[in-house]
Amino acid sequence: SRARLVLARTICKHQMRPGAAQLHVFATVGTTKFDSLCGTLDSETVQQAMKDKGVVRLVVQKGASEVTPRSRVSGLEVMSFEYAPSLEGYFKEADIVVSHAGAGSVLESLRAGRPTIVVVNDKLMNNHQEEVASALQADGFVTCCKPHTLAQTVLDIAITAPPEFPRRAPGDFAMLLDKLMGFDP
Amino acid sequence: IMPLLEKCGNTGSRTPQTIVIPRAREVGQSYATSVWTTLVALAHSAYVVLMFSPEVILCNGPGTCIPICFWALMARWLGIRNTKIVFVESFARVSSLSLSGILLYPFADLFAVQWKPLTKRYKRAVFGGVLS
Repeated sequence: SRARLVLARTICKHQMRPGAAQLHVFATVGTTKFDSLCGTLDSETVQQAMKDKGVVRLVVQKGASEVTPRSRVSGLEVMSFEYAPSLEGYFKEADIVVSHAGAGSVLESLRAGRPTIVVVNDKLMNNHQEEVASALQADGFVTCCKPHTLAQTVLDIAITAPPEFPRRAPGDFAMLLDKLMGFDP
Repeated sequence: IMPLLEKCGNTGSRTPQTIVIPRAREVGQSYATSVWTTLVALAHSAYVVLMFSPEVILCNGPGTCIPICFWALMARWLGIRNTKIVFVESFARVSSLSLSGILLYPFADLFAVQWKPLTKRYKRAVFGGVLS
């Protein structure tokens, strides 16, 4: 609600000394078209919330989305692009990642050790994306929200690395495959 | 891939090949036009399966694998080749299977999932660890 937003902003302002935080946010939608997320990132509400949090730079990888976020608030630099050959650098450089609920993007963010906000697209039909997002949130790896609650989530999120996500461990699967094909150890 | 194969003892007599096959259906494509594109995909897949006569088919979520597995099953039932089908369900599937998963579940020789709760719901599924 609006009152909660105003309260959270006030708390942020008092907690932060001027110039204390110089945060970078990286937002990614992978290969999807996620206009409601790009639209909310392009809004003064969310950008002001980011600024109050101490964010100075927002980079948006917008994929196939039509909306191109630009800076709506002074003091917050906003850069948007469609795709890049590798997003690794962008993840590593960010203090907070805002990601669509695609398993690939979320995993990349977690493996880069970034606090991750997963934004679920409530306009998608048959939304099985929510399953992964909820499961990861339940295990404490990410924080989920919807596009219209992004501002509040940005203000609330803690800038601490999430728990380490299990690495790819193909050993078990390889053993099962060997056994199936008759290669017993 | 080559260094990995050599490490596993492969003498390198056969180099890995990449073959492109058409999708049976694009995301959001109308079901009417899908009939034709599925037939095209089936034809391509028949050729690939016949040409290579694989011992193992390793596939994951996307429906592109369905026509390939279809022909492998045909070959198996006709006694031509006992091809093993290994299916790895997508990491995005936590509590339910994808459509490809549901279709291949009765036929796969190894059906791997990446979230443990699925093994309770689907008895033939095994947890193969996180493979994403």
